[in-house]
Amino acid sequence: MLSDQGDVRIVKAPTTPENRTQGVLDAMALAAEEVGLSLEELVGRLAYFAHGTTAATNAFIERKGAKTGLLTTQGFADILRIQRSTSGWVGMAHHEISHFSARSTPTPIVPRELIAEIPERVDFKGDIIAAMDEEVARAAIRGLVAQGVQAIAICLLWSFRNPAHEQRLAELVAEEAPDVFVTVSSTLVPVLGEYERTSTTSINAYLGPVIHHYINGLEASIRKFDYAGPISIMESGGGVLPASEAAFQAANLLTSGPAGGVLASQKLGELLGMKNILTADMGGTSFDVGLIVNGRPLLESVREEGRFHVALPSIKVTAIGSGGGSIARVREGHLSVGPESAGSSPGPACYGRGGVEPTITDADIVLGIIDPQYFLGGRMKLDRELSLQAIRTQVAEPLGMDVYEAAAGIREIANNQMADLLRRVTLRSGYDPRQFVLFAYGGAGATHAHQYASIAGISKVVVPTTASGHSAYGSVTADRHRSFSFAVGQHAPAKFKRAADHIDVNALNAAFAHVEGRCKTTLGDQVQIQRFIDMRFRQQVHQIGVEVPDKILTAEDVDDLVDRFEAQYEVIFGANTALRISGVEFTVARAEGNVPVHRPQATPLPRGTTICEPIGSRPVYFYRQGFQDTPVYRAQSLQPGQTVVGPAILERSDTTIVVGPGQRAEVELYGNIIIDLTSTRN
Amino acid sequence: MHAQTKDLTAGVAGATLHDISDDAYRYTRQDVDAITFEVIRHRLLAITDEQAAALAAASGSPLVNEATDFNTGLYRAEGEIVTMGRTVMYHAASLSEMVKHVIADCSVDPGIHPGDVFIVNHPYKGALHAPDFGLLAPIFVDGKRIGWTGVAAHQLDVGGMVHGGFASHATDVRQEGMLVPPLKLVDGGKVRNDVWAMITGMSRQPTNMSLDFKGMMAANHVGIKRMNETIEQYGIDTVLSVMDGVIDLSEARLRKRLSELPDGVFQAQTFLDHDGQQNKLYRIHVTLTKLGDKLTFDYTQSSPQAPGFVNATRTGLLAGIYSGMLPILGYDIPWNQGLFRQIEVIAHPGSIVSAEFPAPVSQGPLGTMWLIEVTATEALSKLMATDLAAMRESQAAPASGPDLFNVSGRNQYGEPTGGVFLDQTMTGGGAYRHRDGITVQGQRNITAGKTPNVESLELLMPVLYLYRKIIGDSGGAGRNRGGLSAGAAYILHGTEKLNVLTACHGYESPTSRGLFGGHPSGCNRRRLLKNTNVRSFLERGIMPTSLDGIEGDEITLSAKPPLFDFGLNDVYEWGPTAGGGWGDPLAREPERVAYDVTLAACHSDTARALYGVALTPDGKVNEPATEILRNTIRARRLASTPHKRMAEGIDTRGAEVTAHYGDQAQFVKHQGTAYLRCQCGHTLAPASDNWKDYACATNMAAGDLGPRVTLHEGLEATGYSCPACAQLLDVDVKLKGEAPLFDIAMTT
Repeated sequence: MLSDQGDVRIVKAPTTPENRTQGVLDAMALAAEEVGLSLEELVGRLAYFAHGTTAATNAFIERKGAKTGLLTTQGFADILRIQRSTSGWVGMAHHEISHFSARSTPTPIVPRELIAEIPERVDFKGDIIAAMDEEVARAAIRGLVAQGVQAIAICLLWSFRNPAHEQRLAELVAEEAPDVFVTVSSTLVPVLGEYERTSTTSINAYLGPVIHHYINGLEASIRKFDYAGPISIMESGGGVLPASEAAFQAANLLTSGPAGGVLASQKLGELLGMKNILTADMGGTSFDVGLIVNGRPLLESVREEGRFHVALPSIKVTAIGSGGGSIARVREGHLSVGPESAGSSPGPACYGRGGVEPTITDADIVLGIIDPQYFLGGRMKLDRELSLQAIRTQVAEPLGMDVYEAAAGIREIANNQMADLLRRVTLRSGYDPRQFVLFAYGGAGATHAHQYASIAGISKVVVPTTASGHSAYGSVTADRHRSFSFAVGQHAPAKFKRAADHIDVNALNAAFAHVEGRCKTTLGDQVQIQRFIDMRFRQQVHQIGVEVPDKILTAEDVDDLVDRFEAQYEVIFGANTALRISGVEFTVARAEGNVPVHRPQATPLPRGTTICEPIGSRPVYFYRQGFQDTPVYRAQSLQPGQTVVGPAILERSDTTIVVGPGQRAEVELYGNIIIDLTSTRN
Repeated sequence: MHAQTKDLTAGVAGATLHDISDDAYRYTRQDVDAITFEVIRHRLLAITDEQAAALAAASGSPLVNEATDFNTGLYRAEGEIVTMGRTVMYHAASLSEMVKHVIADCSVDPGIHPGDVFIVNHPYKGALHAPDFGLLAPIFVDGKRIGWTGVAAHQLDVGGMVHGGFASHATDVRQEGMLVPPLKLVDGGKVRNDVWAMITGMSRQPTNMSLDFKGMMAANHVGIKRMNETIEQYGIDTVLSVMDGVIDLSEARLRKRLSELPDGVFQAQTFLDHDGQQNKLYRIHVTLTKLGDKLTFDYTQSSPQAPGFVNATRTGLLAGIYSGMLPILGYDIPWNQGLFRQIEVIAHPGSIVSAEFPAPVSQGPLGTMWLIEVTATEALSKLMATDLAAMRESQAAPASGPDLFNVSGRNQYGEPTGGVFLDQTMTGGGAYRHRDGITVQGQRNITAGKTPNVESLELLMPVLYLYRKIIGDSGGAGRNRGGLSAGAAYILHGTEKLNVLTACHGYESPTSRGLFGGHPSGCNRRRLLKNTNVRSFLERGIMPTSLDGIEGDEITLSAKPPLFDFGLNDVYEWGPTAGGGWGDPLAREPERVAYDVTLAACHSDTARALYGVALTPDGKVNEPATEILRNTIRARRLASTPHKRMAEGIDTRGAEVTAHYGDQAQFVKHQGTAYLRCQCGHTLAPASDNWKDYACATNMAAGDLGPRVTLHEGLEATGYSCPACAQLLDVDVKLKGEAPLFDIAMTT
């Protein structure tokens, strides 16, 4: 909850899966209590309400979406089952992929009997090769309706080049079954690649009715308290959607949680004047890394979603199985940590819920980093004895080490794995991790950042005040955002001299006019639009979105785009990697529309006037350095301008921040903690 | 403990080419603590991954990025594999062999020095075939070589008689493409532009090749840089101790796994049809001996090398065996040299599995090498199936070789075009004891590859797909059936004519065998109809979903036909081999068969003929009719008289089980003698004899194996059933008149 005075409050209430709206109201009631109001009073006074939800994710994972039918081009009913030969491994953990006997095929989104083939065919140019047989189409729709479908996905070959048949099918569905929820591929995801398009369209249709039902219910509950402001829903691609749009973008809600954390980092980065940011969210089971380059989150055009793919531009987040619950095991004298996780049930040994295998959290307890009496601000008591026992019997004794050395080893291994991931994510995108500031959040992010960031060569770590509710903070601060694409499908051939001789600039302008028009229709005239053209060298796979100037394009602009594409390509993929000689494809025209939401101005906190005092100290074990008497601070008592030199522990009710020996932490103007790691490095 | 790859030849590629050379760094193994060990181990994997990323970024080609036809890795000073990428597995063996050849050929002259990069594609110097180029860079510390980093990637064109390098009419490796022995491409950090220009200049696609080379250089650069950083941080002896330690760790885990399995001798064979010139059969045969913690792969019963391009080199033999092994024995063990130290590989030089220079080999990786993988997989699966716990990893054969589809001509934009279609990777996986094979799992030796979309191919190539679909009955029948493959039909679109080269095996020979009574998969199939009326269908708004009803001249193609013209009114349809089945098809629950029929995974005729399942008109199981059908099939199996009879009065029920024969039968010890006993309780045979001589043998026609199976005139198929319960225990495909294969002989 943000106030106009710049006050930021985070309250949490448990999810109520049976009736999710209740959980939202519970959280609002807690927030109301914090400011001494009733629920009704608070909601009535709100200026803006934004919501992030896992409703889509849960319905997708548990396969509790709507019964969905699919209309596809005749001869291609198997697109989803063929799945580009990825069905046996997509969505499986890295270490599972080479275990062939453990592979399996996913439960289909649309079962075979609900896939109907429609006689029609369009070619790569968008020319109609075979006209659509409307009688067969009507019969197919009736057949699906008779089988009880609540949603229909429409995805035909090359529809992004010529959507006529898809649009006609949508009309036929509206005539035959007006109550059925419909997703049309050429509207939702008009890009090349029939598998990804069919998968995305089907998932969207499958989740649409679920989201529709949920958001409508939520809205009604909130409006009941006289809330008249806008309602926004977090999506995965870089902003929030108006609530009325959410169902039609249901597939876009799937990774909105991790995306929210990256967006929150982006907004906070703007405030702090930081443009190149690595985000690191470490929770119970995974370590999620995102990248913000020059103030803009890195997107991916296709992502793995469960055992399928979604081809909507989304904020790229890469994960490995390193979280507080990651299990340490010894096999044949070899210690490894993760990717198996004890999760929250049974959870780490110290939870006392029957988990006997030692985890990263247990190591943190044994080493004195986490105070078992102050976990979650003391709301959950942990049992240090159980941690000691688990690490002693399962790691220390088998390896002939003392228990502290073993615990420090678990931490060392995990932190190195996370550093390896940070490096991989940045290098893969063409950047050097040393040029980035790291934002550490999630329950365990800041507990380990002092080391993993340092190993990856990063100099500065920011621990946001909103670390535990970072994704929610992203939801309330993010702009309204929509992305619209139009496949242009033009190319300059091999050995071209001037691209403008081959590219129809009028068609490009028309494509941009179209996507900008859609942006304005959905987000209003005040929308700020950035235009991109996705380009690639012919017969090559790497595609890059090049920013397009906001004007009517001329032939010179087309040539200029090619030059900029080439330059950008070499920044990302290395000098002399551009393959201009093979020709250049202009694949997709894209408009990214943003509308800022009501966002209170952040207010600097008063500067600290005194030297901050620790609440006490305790021995904390640092790898290869042994136990050191380490001062412990309550982070909320620290004020801007105050600094702490490590080793130090800064405790918050939501996380424990470690400042490594020789590192220096400072509270900046808005209360965020910035750790300078450089002093420990040679 | 060096790789024991016994080589029966002199002068052919092998693993023991060179003693520890003087320029290699010598050190004393350190005792590295478990924590540092794991941190460095993870770092080595991260480096390998960064190498792959560097290559993929620079290359940008779909072959690298989607088909993942490359591999990267770190090697010790003499070529032992420390890490390998999980991409196309074949290349891992190849890179290691290339390093050995570089050492053998270049140590003295031109010398191996810091900053050097060597390049090689010679199939008799470590490469699998000429299109696979390797770039290898030594890693030095204090002037001594401590290891290598290497990358291999498939090139679009390497010169030679035909575009793409698969010349079916070549009779000599020197016709197939340029042959680059290990050469120094970078000398002390300086690129030799003359060598670079000469090599790329021999390709029809020099720019793409240059780009791939740049990517490979970048990958090696990343490897060396990151290794140096790691060495600087931890010290060379510590890092080497971990590099050698991870190899030892994998070796120890493999040895432990092997020693927990019973000892035995396992045979597998399959027949490659057509050598590019003649439609002859070539035997690929392995005798796998497992003794204690060692494995011997003996391929000496394989055929002599072929005059055509189907041969595997010695490297190909190792690559095929390694690929067979890795997912079965090493699924949870880090993949490195440690998995290969306990294996001995025996083959006759000059045989099809270990061809001698200058035999042509361009199709070998898709030909003999693939069948080496398939036979190694089968033999290892039989080993794993002798133990209840290990049986989970035992698998029937996967799809056993793609049907190359290489085109050249002009595309729809009027430009010259050429290349291999990559959608022949939509193939089914082998069945397991606990599940059906995965439908469209992709090729087994590509860990995580992607098939192109129809739209991507139609954008690039002048074709229009009539359909792309999963092919019913392509997988082998069985209690668990093989995974199905997908196939397609094309017509031309936007051009008048293309030249097409296709080549496959498994066309008249069922090469994807089932296990323990499971049937082999369907064969590679293709149809070419010329001068058809297909366009009149489209004009009338009809999209044909099969070739039925299309009129035209059917052209009979051999497995490896000469180049043919594909014209405007022609239709080409293809469907690949798929996964083999597991167990007797009659043991499949009728409901699962009925479900397969509703999915069109199985035709109702197949349900009757192979599974003995009759369905009601609404697709439900007709139980009485099913029982009658199944009994009829069982009676047919029991109609033949076994060659040999068990001595009277031997009742092994209750005897101690010493090993398993899948979950169909067990080896038991009864009064000091070992027997094989069917799960029904019937004692089949003394374990020292081939039980098949004691079984009811039924000759099976192609159609009895499956509706998509074709049998070459030289082949016959025989099913062996328990004389008591009629359970089908194995199906042999062998040369006519040959004795049955003695597939599992326990020696424990």
